Amino acid sequence: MKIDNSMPDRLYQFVLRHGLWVEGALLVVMFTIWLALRPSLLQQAPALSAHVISLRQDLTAIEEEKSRLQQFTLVRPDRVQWLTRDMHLHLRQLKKGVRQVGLADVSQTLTMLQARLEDLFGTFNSALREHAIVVDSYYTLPILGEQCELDLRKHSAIPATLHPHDIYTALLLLPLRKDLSAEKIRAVMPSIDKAKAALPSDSEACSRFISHAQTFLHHFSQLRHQMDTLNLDAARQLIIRLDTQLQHHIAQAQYHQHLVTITLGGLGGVMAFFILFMLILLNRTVKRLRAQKRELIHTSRLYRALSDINEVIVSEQDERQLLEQALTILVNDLQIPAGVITCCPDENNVLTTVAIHAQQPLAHQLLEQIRFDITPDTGNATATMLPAWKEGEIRALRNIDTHPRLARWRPLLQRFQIQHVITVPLVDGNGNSRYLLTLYLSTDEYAGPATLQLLREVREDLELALHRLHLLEKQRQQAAQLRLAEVAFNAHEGIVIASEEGRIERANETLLKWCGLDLNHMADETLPALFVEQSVIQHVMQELPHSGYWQGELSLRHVDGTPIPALTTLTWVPPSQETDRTGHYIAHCLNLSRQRQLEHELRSIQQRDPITGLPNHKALIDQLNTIMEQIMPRGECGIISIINIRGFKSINTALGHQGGDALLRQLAERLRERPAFPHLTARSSNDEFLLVPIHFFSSQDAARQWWERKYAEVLGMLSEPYDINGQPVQVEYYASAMLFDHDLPAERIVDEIETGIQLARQHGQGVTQLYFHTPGASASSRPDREITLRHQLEQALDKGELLLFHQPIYNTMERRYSLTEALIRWKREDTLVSPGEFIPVMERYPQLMTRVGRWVLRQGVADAARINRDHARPVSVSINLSAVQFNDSELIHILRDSLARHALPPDRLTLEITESALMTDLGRTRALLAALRELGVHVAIDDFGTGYASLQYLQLFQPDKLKLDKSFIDPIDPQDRRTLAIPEATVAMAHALGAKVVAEGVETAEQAAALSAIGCELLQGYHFARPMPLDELLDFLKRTETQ
Amino acid sequence: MKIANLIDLFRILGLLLLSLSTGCEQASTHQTLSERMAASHSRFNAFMRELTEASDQPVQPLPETVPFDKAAAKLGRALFFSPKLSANGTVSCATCHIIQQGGDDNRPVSIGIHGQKGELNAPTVLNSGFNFAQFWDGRAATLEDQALQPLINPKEMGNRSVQAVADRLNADPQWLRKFIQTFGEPASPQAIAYAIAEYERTLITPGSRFDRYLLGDRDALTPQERRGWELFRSYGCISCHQGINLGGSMFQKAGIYRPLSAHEGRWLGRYNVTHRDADRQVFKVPTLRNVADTAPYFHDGSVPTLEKAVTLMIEAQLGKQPHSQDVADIIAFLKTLSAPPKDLLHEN
Repeated sequence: MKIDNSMPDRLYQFVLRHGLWVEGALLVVMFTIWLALRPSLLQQAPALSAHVISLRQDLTAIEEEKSRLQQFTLVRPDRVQWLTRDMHLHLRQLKKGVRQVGLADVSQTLTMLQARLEDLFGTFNSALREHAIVVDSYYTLPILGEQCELDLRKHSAIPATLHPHDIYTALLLLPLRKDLSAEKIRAVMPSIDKAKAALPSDSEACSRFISHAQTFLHHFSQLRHQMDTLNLDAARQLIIRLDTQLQHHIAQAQYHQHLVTITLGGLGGVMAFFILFMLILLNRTVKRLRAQKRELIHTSRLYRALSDINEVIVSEQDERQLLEQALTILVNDLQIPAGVITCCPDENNVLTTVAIHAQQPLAHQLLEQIRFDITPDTGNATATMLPAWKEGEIRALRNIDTHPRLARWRPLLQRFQIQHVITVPLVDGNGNSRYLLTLYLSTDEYAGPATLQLLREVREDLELALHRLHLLEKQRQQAAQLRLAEVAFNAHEGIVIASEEGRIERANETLLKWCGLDLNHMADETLPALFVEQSVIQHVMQELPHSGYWQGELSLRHVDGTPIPALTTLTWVPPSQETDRTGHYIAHCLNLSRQRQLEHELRSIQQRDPITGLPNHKALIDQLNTIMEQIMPRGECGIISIINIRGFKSINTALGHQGGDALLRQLAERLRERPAFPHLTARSSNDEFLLVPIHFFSSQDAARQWWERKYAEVLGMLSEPYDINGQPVQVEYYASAMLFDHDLPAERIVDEIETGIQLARQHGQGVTQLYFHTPGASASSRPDREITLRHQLEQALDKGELLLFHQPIYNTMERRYSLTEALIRWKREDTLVSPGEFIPVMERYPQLMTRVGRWVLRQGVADAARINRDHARPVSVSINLSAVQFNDSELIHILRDSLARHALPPDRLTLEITESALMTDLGRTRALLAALRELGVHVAIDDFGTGYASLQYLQLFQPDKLKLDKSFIDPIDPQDRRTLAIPEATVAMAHALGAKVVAEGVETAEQAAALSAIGCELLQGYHFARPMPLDELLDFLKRTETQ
Repeated sequence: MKIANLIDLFRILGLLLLSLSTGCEQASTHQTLSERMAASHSRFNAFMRELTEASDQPVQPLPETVPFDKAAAKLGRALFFSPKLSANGTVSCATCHIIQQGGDDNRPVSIGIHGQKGELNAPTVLNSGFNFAQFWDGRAATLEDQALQPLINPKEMGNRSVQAVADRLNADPQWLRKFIQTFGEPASPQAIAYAIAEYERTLITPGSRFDRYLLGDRDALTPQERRGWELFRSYGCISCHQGINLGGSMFQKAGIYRPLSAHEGRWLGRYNVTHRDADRQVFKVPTLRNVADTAPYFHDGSVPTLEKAVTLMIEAQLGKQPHSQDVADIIAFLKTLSAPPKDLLHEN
């Protein structure tokens, strides 16, 4: 771990790493120095000593030779020479060595020694010489002596003095004498001289003998002399001295060396120690610095974490986000393995994990799966989380990876190197724990006091932040409420708050806007002044504290004087002790001007048909009135026509309402635009349009002629296919036209034409029919009549003025009357109202129709029951069902109910439905027929042949009976077979379908016979019977039974 | 510690030790030569001492080989035969010391430069390494001391100084190269002397019949020669002519019982060195090896024949009356001391 990369640090690093080697190198250097300082004497000391030893040895060897010299044994001069040479060599080396080292005394000694040795060797050499001669004569003397003796013997007498034997014996004994001295030797010489004198001169042997003797003696004496001089002691002494000196010097040198060694060693030691000490110190310093640096980094990380958290606290507005980010910061900045935030223990003491952050994804995943349970003793998070939560204090636990209680966590902890855990509770203002921030730490340093301190600060900051956020939230809510209040205040009501005295304190924007005022104006205004009805307000205000509340319609005053209708509510707010000292009036005003406007608009709408935009029924009447009054000349007539869309309901169903509306719009468009004459148009009802050409005629014929021309154009134009959603739609019309003059008011005219188209529809008049209806055809004021009639009908139902007549129907098979048709009759004030009169009216009002229809059903069933009770043989009753009743949801129910009530077998009841009615809405038809079938009630198709029913639908309907329309019966001529064709075919078809046929309007016997012949089972008509009241029917049936 | 560091340590230490060793060494070639010489001498000395100590006989056979400095000896041989050593380039060592002819020039006295006659008989160069001193007066303790003296003897090689010889040699690039090759320095008196001396040390003549006899081969000598050997001893010749060289190990007065040569008194011998009266007419006892090839005899070369030499020796040195038969036998024996010089240079 580098502190930094500066030079001292790098140097230090180098020293640290190579410290020991540097040490070693230094020591070696010192050793070198030591060696260099080492005196060369010591280097040479061994060699020198060796030389000295050799000298000694050589000297000893020479001593040996010297001793040999003393004896008459063979001396080895060669040995001596080589020893000598050896000693010379040693000396020379010593001299050289000593000279190098500069030991003067030793040098001197050496010189002396050398001199001494020179002497010695010189002497030795001389001694050798003498010795050689001596030894030679020594061994020759006896021989020569003998020879001399012999010679002497030859000569006769041997002088007494001369006995060679004695001489040479004496001579020979010389070397053996230990006490020999030079004198003694010299003492022998005279005797030899004497002997020589005494010897005969011609004896060669003797003279040789004497010569040898003399030589021997001489040289022996010389030898003795040499030997005496041959003193090795001095040399030895010198050598010893040499040795001593040398040793002394060596010792000194060694001593010096030791000193140097010690000094250097000491120095070196000191140096080494110093270096070591320095290194240790440096190491410590570095360690300390490193620790400091680490601490610094550590601390800076801690504070960075703190600063980051505070940043987040400042910027984050969401509590959850804040906590998550705080956790992330702590985990990342401190580089700890993981952290988790928990809160809200449930009833099982299991904490909810709010946030997790971990450095390793695996740890993250694992933490996600852990549920922290702070149940005391048994929970898995009781180490720190439980106490932290309970006590609201930071809890830390160290070395949890070796903690015995947390053994179950150990593998996990060790895996992620978690060693310590700290839990920081975040408490609210009341000291209750809200969150637990738990950190899992890995290194010791992070579990130390600095970290705890940081966490304390973090905790404080987070708690403050949470508190602040909480307050902010409250503030926000309050602000929202205030805003709402503000909005409410500035709602569409005008609100004024006035003081007890009536002085306006506050008025909202709305009021100001309405009255065209601004706040400055309001400063001195009183509440009543706002209104037109000032006195009313004042009166109310006086009364209000008692009554508390008043509401009424007043008019606010606009600055420009316009009165603004306002529904005003005045409220008195009594003073409250905590807030206001005085009471206040509050006026709420609902601006009614808009409402009025809307009403006006509505009224105007009411003049127009919303879908097509054409004037409506009422508008047309107004317009027509206007035209008649202002344009139409007196005495002339005009034309009004009505166009009714055929089967608009089915078209609407087919196209959908949007399609239907589109169609209407297109139609209206055509009507409005296309006719090439000025005209009024209106949509008078759902599927009816009015067209009034603004063209007046002096005579009816002229009008008729003009109209016939124009009408075809109009209808042709209207009949062109419409394009609805890309589909071409063909429309057919009922149409009617009427002439009018000033006799009738516009209202009546419109009413008449509308009635007229109804009649046209009823009669089912073909595809397009031009129908002129002369005005005044109906004497009574139709609209009024109709309304009266309707009303009367309603009442008739209630009063029971309606009754059923029955028309018996003859059964050709059974040859009796087995069926009757029930027909509705109205007995009003003892006169029967013509069905033609009231039935159409009835049919125009579906509700009325339904009611009547229901009554008819019930009554019919009741009558049928009565008939069957009264009569032995079964009689069915047939009731007409109008298309309107298809929509009656109660229909089946009523039927079932009635049948049940009267216990009438359902097959005694037949419901007659017109073919066209059946075809109008096939779905409904099918449903109805199914229901009826289920009931068991029979179904008869009325006016068969006049409707659209195809044979396919006949099969679908499965009718029980088919009623042939009168129009097919009338033309029957027995003579003309052709007239029977359709009836015959119908009968055949009906039989194929399994239905019976009822022929309507049979008026002659021939018709009856013919019909019977072709197989028509049931015959109905005036030929057989007329509709009669029930009593009469019963009698009739009784009568005809017997026939 | 890392291995790298250990290696570094060793490197450092090694370097230091190396510097140490070189630092302690005194780098001087002059010393090298002296030391080389000293080493050679020591070696030779030790060899000879061992040789002499090993035997308690008065006479030992020649060793088959001796330790010598081969490179120096090679150079020495070249020098030995080179007349360039003489002032006029006519005389070389080999002029007076003819190796194949017994190691001397077979003249009473040598003829040096300009045909000058020398003063004394040239001793044999063969086996001269075994002598304890060189010159008749033993003034040269070593062969080195001897080798340079002829160079500056006006009657022999006539150089003004040995340095002149050295310079002359150095002027010659070949000689210079030779010297540098051998000694790493140009020719110097010391180098010249050492080279020649080393060569001379190689001139040994082992394998004579007498040596073979000494080594145990009884049949190497004829009966007469054996007799001669016996007489050599019984007369007492052996008392001076003893050792490995049968001589060359001591001084002795020439003419103990009577003068040895006619020019008695002329040559002072040892007196030249010691200046002692007792040392007048004291000469180095010469080697008898190859004596048969080194006529004429005695220091002044006055005796041409072995017969006369032996007779004179016995009379003058031993004071005895030699019998002619004995002399003949002795001569027969002396002849067995001859052997050709061995080529140690090529052998090694």
